[in-house]
This record gives sequence, structure tokens and C-alpha cells, in this order.
Amino acid sequence: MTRWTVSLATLLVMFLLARGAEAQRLVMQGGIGVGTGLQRSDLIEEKLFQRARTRLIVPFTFRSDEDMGQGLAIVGLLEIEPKVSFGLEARYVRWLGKVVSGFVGVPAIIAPKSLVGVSAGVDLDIPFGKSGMSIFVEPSIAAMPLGADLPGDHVLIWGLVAAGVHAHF
Amino acid sequence: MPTFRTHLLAVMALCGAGAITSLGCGTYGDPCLRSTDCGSGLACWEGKCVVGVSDTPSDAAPTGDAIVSGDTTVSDAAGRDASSDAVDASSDAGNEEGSTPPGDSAGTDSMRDVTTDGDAVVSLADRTNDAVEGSLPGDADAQVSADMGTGGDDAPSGDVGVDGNSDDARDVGTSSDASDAAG
Repeated sequence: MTRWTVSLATLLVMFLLARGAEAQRLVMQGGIGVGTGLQRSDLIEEKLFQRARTRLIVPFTFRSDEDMGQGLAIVGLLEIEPKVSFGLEARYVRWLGKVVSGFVGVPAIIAPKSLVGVSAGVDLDIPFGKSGMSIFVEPSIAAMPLGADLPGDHVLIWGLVAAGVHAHF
Repeated sequence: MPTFRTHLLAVMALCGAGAITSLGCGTYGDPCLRSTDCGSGLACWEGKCVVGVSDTPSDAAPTGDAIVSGDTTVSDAAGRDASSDAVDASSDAGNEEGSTPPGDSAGTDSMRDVTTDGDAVVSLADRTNDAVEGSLPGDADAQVSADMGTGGDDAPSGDVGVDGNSDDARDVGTSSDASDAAG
């Protein structure tokens, strides 16, 4: 009985006296922006490009404070003009400095019809003030070869530019 | 309805912007690169919004073409089937009525079936000697000629059951035919 009592007391003391170890911490960044650009498909015969749909983008970036050079991002896509559609994009982001980052991703329009492809782009993050806010400009290119929204086997190419505001949480 | 009016104005504004920038508003003939670029009832086909029934682009394509260009390829096929059915039906009806079938009806499949089945032809032959004999292949001619000699009393109902093709037999060897032949 004495042995158990001593063991429990030792455990309690160890737990109470031990300090919290420094572990990985999730650094999250969110934002909102608006974008548009040009789109191309071999369905276009008269011109080279059409204007792409205007869209709202809502990016959320997640990275570890122990490895701030890379992270993952989920971007909400909301095409608003001239037609409305909704989708998501999963990205792998790699920071090339404090201001510039590059990404590759898999954008997917989910509704009203599906559209899936791959994308790559660059993110210029320009901080302003001391609030952790920044303005971003994001040129990107995407190829969308899959989905029910494509009429036949015509790959849709997007060249987009988005701009908006980032904030650190 | 201010809300509706606001919505309408917003849509008009958006479509106007789309039209200015060559995106169009998804109406007939507007350019499209995605199926959802076109409005309801329209399908994106070869970069243009066309009238289509199906949402699936591959299905909508021929249908859209047929309606837009007036090339009724799909419906032609159905029409042909329908007309051939109609011809069969009319020839059957003619036999039932006991009237002389038209000359070309002797060449139809149903007529050929009847003649090769043999006895069932007799009642028809009694009534349409020239027309049927003129169209019969060699062996059947002989049989018809032979059977014709037996007179109208032998012809009708008893012989009908021999035929495996009950429809054709019924068409030809009706009781009315028998009575007519006997008369």
C-alpha cells in the first residue's frame, strides 16, 4: 500500500511540476480576393482567348511554425459572373522568401457541374501596417481536362490573376 | 416586387458585362466553353450554345443539330419505322377486309410469309387471284393454283391453324373470308 501511495504521489508531482514542452504550432493565414483572367479551349475558333469568369477566392493556408517554408492551403472558389459555380482548390505552397510563394494545386469546381484540373501559380504577399495584414497578387495558370462541365474532350486553360487581402490568425 | 426588380437589374447588368467581354449571357448562339455557360434548355456544342434536350453534351449534340439545322436524322429513323409499321398494318387490314391488296403489298414480308405458309393463302387467293398469283414465288404459285381448284369451302378456318405465324394467319383466314369465299 505504501509503495502505491508513493508511486502515485511521485507521478502527481512530476505532472504538476513539468513545464509544457514547445511543440509544433499551426500557423494559419486566411484571406479573400477577387480574380478573373483569360480562358482558352480548342472550341474557340475566332479568337485566341475569352475572358474567364470572375471569381471570389477565399484562401486558407496552414503551415508549421517549425517549417515556415512550406504549407498546405485550401482555397474556396466562387465563380460569380456571368455564371455562378462553387468549388475548392487544394494547394501545396512553398515560400521562396517573405514576399513570394509558389504553389501547385488541384482546383475542382463542384457545383453545378464538376470541373477538375491542375494549377500552378505565384503569390506576391505585400505586408502593410503592423497588424499582420497583407495584400496579395496571385497570377496563376490552370488546365482543366476533367469534369461534366466540359463539352466533350476539350481541355479548358485558365490564365488568372487574383488580388485580395491576407491576414494572419 | 422591388426584390425581383433588383435581381432582374443585377442579372441584366451581369449579362451586359458578359456580352461586352464576349462571354455572352448563355443565350442561343452565344459562345461557350463550358456546359454551364449556356442557359437552361441549351447545350454547349462546338463552342456555341444550341438547343438541346439532354444535359449530357454528347447526347445533346445530334439532337441539337437536328433541331437547329432542320436535319431530322434521328427522327427520320423513327419515322421510317413508323411508316413501315403503318404499311404492314394497312396490308393486314386489307386482308381482313377481304379486299384486293395493293400490288406492292404482295412484296412485303407479311405477304411473303403468308404465301409460303401454304394453305392459308387459299382464302386470299380465292378473292384476289390475279394480285396474289402475280406476286407469288414459283412453288407457292403451284400450290395456290391447286388449292384454288378445291373451291371456297375448303379454304378458311381449318387451314388457318396450320400456320405457325398466328398473326398472319388470322389476317388472312378470317371467318368472314370463309363466308365470302363460299359465297
